[in-house]
Amino acid sequence: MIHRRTLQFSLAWRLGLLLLVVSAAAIGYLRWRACQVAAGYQTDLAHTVLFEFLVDVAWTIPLFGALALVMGNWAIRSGLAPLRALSADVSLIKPGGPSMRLAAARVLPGEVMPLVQAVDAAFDRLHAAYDAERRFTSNAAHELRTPLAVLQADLERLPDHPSVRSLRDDAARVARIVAQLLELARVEAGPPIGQDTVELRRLVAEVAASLGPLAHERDVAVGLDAEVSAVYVRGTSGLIEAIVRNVLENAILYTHPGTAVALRLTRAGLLTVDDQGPGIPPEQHGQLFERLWRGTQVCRNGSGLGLAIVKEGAARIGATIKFHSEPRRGTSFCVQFAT
Amino acid sequence: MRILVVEDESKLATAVCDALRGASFCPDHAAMLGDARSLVSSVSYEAIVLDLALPDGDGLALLRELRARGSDLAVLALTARDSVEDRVTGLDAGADDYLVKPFATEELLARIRALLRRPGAVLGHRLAVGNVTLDTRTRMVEVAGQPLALARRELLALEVLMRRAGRVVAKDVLLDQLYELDEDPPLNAVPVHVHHLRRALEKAGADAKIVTFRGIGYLLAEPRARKS
Repeated sequence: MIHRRTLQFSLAWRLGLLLLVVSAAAIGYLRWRACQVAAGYQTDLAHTVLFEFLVDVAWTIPLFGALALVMGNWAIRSGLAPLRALSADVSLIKPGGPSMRLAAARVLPGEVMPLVQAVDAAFDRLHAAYDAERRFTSNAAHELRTPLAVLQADLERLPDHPSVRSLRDDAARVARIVAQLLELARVEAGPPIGQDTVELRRLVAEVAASLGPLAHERDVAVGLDAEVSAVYVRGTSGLIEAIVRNVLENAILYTHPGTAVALRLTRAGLLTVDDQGPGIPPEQHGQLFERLWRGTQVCRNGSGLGLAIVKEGAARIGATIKFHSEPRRGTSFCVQFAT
Repeated sequence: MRILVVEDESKLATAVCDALRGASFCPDHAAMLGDARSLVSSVSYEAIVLDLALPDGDGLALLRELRARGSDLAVLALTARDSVEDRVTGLDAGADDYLVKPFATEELLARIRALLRRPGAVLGHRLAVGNVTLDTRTRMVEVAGQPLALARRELLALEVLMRRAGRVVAKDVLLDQLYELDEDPPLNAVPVHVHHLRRALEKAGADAKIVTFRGIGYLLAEPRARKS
């Protein structure tokens, strides 16, 4: 039950050895004293009584030793309890969560204080870097999106004219590219491997619902088949949402109008998205996840960043992506989330 | 109907105010959190369009103050932050709806109208999608001017779908709206009610259509404009 490399094990092991040596020495000393005392009497009876007494006493020494070992072990264990509580605290630390001072949270033995303080300082530095990154993406989003909103509002106020309509389309495309660039930046600034548990079915349904208007506009039917009503996977909801949204959005944009995009979710956390689009030619499979690369059947709305976001996001939560494509039949994307 | 627009980018604020004026609202503009705070305390508004990133602070702060005071003013948060956490924080702070920049002004107007039509809110009681209208006070449904009788739960479903027309209403949301907490909904309750509702609307000649997203939810679609 006790792991060989724990402090408790090594301390108990040393204590055990120590007690063994002390017991052996004590028995040896007793025997030597008994011999000395016995030498003073010349009768066999005295010898017998003395050595019987010796045997009687000697066997209790290992017993007391064992008792001392058990109590020592218990003392070590309770002495280390603050460290166990500390590990429980540390396991709750998440990127983006409230910053936490380990040194202040528990009454700790003085010996481990320097370590804990050093860890606290390291966390502070990480926290500051993470905050700066988050602030940057948030500020960049504001700085880029507000002028775009102004541009779009101005364009909407212009009288309807083919050239105005084309400008509006362009502005919408720029807005989309900006949104995806920001999303990519956010995914990259995000936590590495997420330790949260996320319910995938509900999240997929929500993402699909948010893309419903787009699907309706393109006359695409979207359906979700889930094996079970709740599938728990590892990751952060932000990253999983980014992955699911980009894969599904691609499918809706590339499938032929009037066809269906089918989402399937297994109890093992495998999400499959099937479209009935033109498929991806085999010679382009290698570049699919590269940034700013777009298929030959260029879709006007694409920015070429969607699958880069998917790839980056998946790497961060330990998900794997596969795809299978048949020209003129369609493409399936399979995302296996970590459970 | 007075609406406060809190937005520091003056051109965007002008565009939003113009659009609101065009839709016969009466907008006031505040560029700073401080101005907004004093306006809110002196004027009684029906709704606020609130940008969350302002030069003198976070719009969420104002929102929290309002909600802490028990105000149920309709608040549409306007933001450049679109991550899930940001959305959740915004809604937790008490925003009624959320619009990410850049947005279409039509969308903004539609969201504001939807907010003002919440139960107990000020704007009219008539919901309209295509040729289907619903008077939320008298619970009367009309299709192309002809009254249409609907069962209670179908009517409820129609109301939910009409309030969020053009957006997908999740199945779970519909289920929550159709059944009280202590009621035990039969299996497949939502698809069955939506099916009946769709049949009734089709029979009455409605041009608004209920689109099913299997396993996801339902969307009430406006009739499509003739493609030119």
